[in-house]
Amino acid sequence: MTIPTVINTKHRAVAAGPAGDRVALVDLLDRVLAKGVVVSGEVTISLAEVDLVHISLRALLSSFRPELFRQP
Amino acid sequence: MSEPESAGASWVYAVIADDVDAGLAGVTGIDGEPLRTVAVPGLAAVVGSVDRTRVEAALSARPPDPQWLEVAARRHHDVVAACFPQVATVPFRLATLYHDDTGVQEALTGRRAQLRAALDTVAHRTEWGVQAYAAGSAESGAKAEPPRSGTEYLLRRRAEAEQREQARRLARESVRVVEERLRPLAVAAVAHPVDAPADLLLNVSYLVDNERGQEFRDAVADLSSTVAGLRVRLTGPWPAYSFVDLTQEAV
Repeated sequence: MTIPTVINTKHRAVAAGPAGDRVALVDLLDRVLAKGVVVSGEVTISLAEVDLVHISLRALLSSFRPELFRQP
Repeated sequence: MSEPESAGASWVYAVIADDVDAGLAGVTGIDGEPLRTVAVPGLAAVVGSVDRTRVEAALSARPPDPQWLEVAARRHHDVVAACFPQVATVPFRLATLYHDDTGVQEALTGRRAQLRAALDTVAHRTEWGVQAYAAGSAESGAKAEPPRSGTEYLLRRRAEAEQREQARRLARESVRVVEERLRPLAVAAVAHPVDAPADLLLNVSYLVDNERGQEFRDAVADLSSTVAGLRVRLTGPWPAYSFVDLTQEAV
């Protein structure tokens, strides 16, 4: 049995390849919205608010597009 | 009525070393903008100039625009993913903005030690995501004849409940097997939230030396076909999003 493997290929291939090759959105959002370096930017908001924005963006998105967060 | 002048801002995608070529010619960012590096000694940020007003509005909109968010997240990740095969890449979370590149330089300088440590952590390593879902029970597939009596009905219900409990025990044991097999193959592991209603029992990111990448993937494939009661899913290769928390000790 082959494992369903989602391969994140190089930038251009991700943009142009078939849908099956694209990074699954929920896995991507889990990283881009909730992981990665967090530093306080100057624009928009203080550090505390930046954290809140990041956490709540994912929570809000999951309430508006719950299908993205269900079992694939 | 005159339009307010659109302000630019510097959006940070990732940090790399200052003496490498990330190969970003032709790569564009979330606003379709060209990318550049903003350097201080030892570090460089991968940056693009974005429309500050529009980006601020999109980020602070309540409710958020899911479509904007999805596009922004994909494009942000595409930039990080473009660097990552070429050079050690420390991914930034979505939405780190500075008034200008001077602000970026000050931020880099102010966190130089942590960012250098993060570069060391991610160099020559890849993040892999491993998820395990409870496999559906096979027994409930075949529909028997309707029960002929209340007793038979209750007996069947009890048998089904025991089967489910057995399946859960099996799945929990299998999760332990998966973790014990994979953890030694990685430099570090981070657990993400699991989701009970979706039967997601394991959700871990592993940081794996590139030299052991094939071994790791082979182990996941082997586990996938041998552990009982679980469906195993591998995602990646990822830049090391889950291993660059500057507030934590370096891996």
